[in-house]
Amino acid sequence: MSLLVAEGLRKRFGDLAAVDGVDLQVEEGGCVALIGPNGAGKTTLLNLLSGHLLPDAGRISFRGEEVTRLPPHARVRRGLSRSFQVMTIFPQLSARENLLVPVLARLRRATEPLRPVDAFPEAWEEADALLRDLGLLEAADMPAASLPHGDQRRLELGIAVASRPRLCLLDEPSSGLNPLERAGLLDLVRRLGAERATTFLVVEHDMDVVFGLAHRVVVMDRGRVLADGPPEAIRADPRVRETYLGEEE
Amino acid sequence: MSPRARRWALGALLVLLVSLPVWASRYVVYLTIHILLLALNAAGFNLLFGYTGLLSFGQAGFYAVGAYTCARILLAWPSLLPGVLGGTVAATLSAVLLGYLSVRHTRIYFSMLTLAFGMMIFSLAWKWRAVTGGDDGLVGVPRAPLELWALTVPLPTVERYYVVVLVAVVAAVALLHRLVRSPLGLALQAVRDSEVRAEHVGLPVRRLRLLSFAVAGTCAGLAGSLLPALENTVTPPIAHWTASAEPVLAALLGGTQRFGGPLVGAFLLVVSKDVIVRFTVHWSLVLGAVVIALVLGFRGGVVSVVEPWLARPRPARRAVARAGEQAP
Repeated sequence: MSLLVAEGLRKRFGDLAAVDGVDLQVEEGGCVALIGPNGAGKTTLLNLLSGHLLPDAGRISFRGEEVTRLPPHARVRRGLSRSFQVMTIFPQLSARENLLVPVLARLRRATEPLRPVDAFPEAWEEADALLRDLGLLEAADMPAASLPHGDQRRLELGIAVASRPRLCLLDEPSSGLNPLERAGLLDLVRRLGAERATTFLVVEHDMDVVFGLAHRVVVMDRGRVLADGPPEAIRADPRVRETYLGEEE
Repeated sequence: MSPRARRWALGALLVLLVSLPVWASRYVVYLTIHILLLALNAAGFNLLFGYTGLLSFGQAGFYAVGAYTCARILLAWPSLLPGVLGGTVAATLSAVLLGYLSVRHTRIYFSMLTLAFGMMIFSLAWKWRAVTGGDDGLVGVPRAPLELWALTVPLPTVERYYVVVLVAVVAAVALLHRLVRSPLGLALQAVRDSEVRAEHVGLPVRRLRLLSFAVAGTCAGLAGSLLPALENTVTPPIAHWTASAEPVLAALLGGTQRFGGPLVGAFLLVVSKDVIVRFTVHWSLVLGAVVIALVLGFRGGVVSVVEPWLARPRPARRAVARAGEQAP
């Protein structure tokens, strides 16, 4: 069974058909890259899949269950999480608290009103283990806003995977990073994916990164899926070369 | 402050408060009741503002619902506990209802809605003569005895009533303190920091906002319910939007980033008002100037500025060390 099935998804903003009839299936395992020129509808598609926006038409099912109109938090509970293109963390909370929030939510403890946060050692251990994986254990008690940009990006990735999603959507997770940090972050994505049995759907601009990371590449253009296949096939596809890769070379 | 120093300071404060009727004048006791009521109201407000990121101008509405309901109950059935509980529950229910309509919005839209709903409650207090007594308010509210099962404690003096208020406010503030330290408190702060991120980590954002709104309304309602038995009257000005500004000012004065901020702010506000009123009829002008000076002079509130002088940084997380040791 496919992890995620989207059928006939459409979303218009005024006259612009941002997503114009997208069918997409994502199978369990590995990393799928979503590429396309600016304005191709990649972020809108992610917004529809994660519930940040509701589609005008079409349906989305996740692990065999229809989730088309479910609010984001209900999708997270079913194992579908995401990160954002613009840095989206909890700036005033400490790095550890940034991870405790999704961990406690997953453990169904997020609304426990009377016991202190300290009273949930399983959540603390999980958050700290993840902080260690992210290389942020030293910064655990620092307010997230005070961390360097690269650390904030890693923390953001951590927040997205802390809810132990089956499918995690990452919207340009390495934007604003230098090439070295970028490689490190995508390496981290690969490692976390393998360790946690999380499948990633990643919007990414850097072609080297995309072809190094993904086992499958989906190309979008003007709201539609232009091509879909393994990296080698995509690289060789003349339509893709024309509309997208051509611009870069 | 170190946890130990903090505990000592808190203990000393409690001893001071408990022994107050023994050594202080009746007026000081009366004034302290007002400080306690505002402190509770402001602490509840700050759960909504400092912790959840929603600025409400409607606290006076729930305060008034508590006060009027309690007064009506006491007039019909002179027993303190049913009055206070009834007033608090009525305030909670109205906070749930109006909160449900308000928390769909955030920022200025939310603030304006709470202002409007607060003024609706004010109009009710003013116009619904049959229930509220209109501009006369409800008069002759008895300071009814506290009846607990077989035990009946009469409360003829302000000093005795003070003890009831102290117990109720300390208990409510202690509960509130537990709440902000809990996962729920953390979740509310996550909602404040980033609504979008919060809902995408699995938090039901709107429900959390409503919960915070209801708790804030309950605090205001409990504070309001404790008023009629003290003053023996309830009049519409307590519902006015200018009364909603009091918890806002107290929180800003003391600092919204610390749990204790609004409590300290309530003390400062009530005391400075009381002092200024002695010297001038234009007290609100002077009070305004004092508040502006304090807010500008103590960026982030009096508590955030004073606390670092008192000693080391926050007694951070002992559990950090614990969790660290356990990890391989």
